[in-house]
Amino acid sequence: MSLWDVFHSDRLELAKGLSAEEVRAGLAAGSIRDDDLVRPAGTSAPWARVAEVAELTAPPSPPPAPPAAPASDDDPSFPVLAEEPAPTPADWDWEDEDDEEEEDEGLEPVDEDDEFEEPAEVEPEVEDASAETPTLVPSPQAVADRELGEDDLDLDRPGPETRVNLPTARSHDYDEPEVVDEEDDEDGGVVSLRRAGPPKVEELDLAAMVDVAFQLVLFFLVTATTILYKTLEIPKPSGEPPPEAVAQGRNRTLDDLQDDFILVEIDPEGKIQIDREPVAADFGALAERLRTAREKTDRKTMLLSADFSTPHRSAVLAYDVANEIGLGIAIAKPVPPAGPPPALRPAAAPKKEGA
Amino acid sequence: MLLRRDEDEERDEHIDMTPMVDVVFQLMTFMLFSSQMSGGELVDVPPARHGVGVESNAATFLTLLEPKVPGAEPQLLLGHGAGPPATLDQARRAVDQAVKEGIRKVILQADGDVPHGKVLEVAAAVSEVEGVTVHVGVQEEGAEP
Repeated sequence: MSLWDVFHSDRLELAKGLSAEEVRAGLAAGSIRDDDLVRPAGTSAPWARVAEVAELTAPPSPPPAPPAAPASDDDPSFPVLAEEPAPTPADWDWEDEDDEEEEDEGLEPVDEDDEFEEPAEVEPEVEDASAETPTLVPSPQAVADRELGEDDLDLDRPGPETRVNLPTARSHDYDEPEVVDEEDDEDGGVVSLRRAGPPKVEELDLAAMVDVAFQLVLFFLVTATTILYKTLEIPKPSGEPPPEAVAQGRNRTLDDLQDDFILVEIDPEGKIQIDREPVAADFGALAERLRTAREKTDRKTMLLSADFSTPHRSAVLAYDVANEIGLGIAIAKPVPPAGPPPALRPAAAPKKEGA
Repeated sequence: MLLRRDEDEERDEHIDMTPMVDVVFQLMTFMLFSSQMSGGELVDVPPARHGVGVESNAATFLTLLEPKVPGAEPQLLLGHGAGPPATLDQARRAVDQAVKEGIRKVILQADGDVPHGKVLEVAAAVSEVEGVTVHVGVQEEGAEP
């Protein structure tokens, strides 16, 4: 007859030296609960739940526990016994953890012992569980054996399955991010903004385009009437010589005109002479010579006598210089190369060009 | 995955037209400024420091182009730079018609290499119309056609 120390976890009381029969009687009477802890008296063995000690709960037949139903027919306590051996190690752990938590309140050193020594006690129960589960363990083997024909692929698959499982695990990994992404898409404000974007794009923001269009309209309105062409006004040359000159049968020579006009001659090559003296075809030099001639002789009009084939740009240079110093412009009408000798006649408007 | 999918969705669904429209309009503005604001570019008119500005809609344009073949006659055109070739009589009639419409200025856009005598011939021809003032087109010094 072994004696047991029983710790009433509900009352936090310790009862020492109880015999196994007293413990069983207490269990039957309800003074000792299944959750109470018990250990061999006078030892430092780890505490165990009363329900887990087969000697205390069911001395005659702890083995019949697997067939729980028939065992429960004998004693009223058997149903409790039948239920408790059944739990898997996982359940046992759960209950034990609960016990540890309860014990933490009062007996911390005992908890430490339990933690270290519980596995030693668990082993026999695991063996019991294995004794109960033998029907489970061989069954898959038996199934595998039975379905060899059909399950050759299955049997081969465990290897391939592991191989396949890796990709499937990866596929799960891929799937999970997708799910996360979708969640992110739904939760994130960015995607909601993107989804709100298309309607804006479909509408097209016309404000900027309209602004630019109006600026173009204003530009056209303002510049349409202000596009200016830079020009030089020239005196109107007469198409025909004056009738009186023709009637008199004479034309004025350049020497005659030089008394009234500053004579500027330009040959077909663009060489310029002022009052029969050559001058460099340069704007500054021409302006200086014309200014000097005007001051010396008080002539205020330039008579341009250019050859018919003189480049137009040379004539424009003379016009420009005359405008620079404020001279009036007269143009001698040149005669075409194949025509009769030059019949020069000053133009009618010796006013300042461009006025 | 996300980025690819989002990019595809955005590219497929919409294209932002605003920057393109802005650039197009800016190009149009650039072209307008660079082409029309300089009136002498169509013809290589001589440069000059001085001159007066004449509004394009207030003058009749005649153009004298340098002959393409050396020794040939310069080409007289009605209009600025490009227009139907015309004789002196046709140019005179065009100016006369313009004067009747209130346009009394004639701008003769003559190429710088055109003979001076030819320019004066045209100017003398259009000057037969009463109330006409004749201008020769010039351009700013340093400006290239």
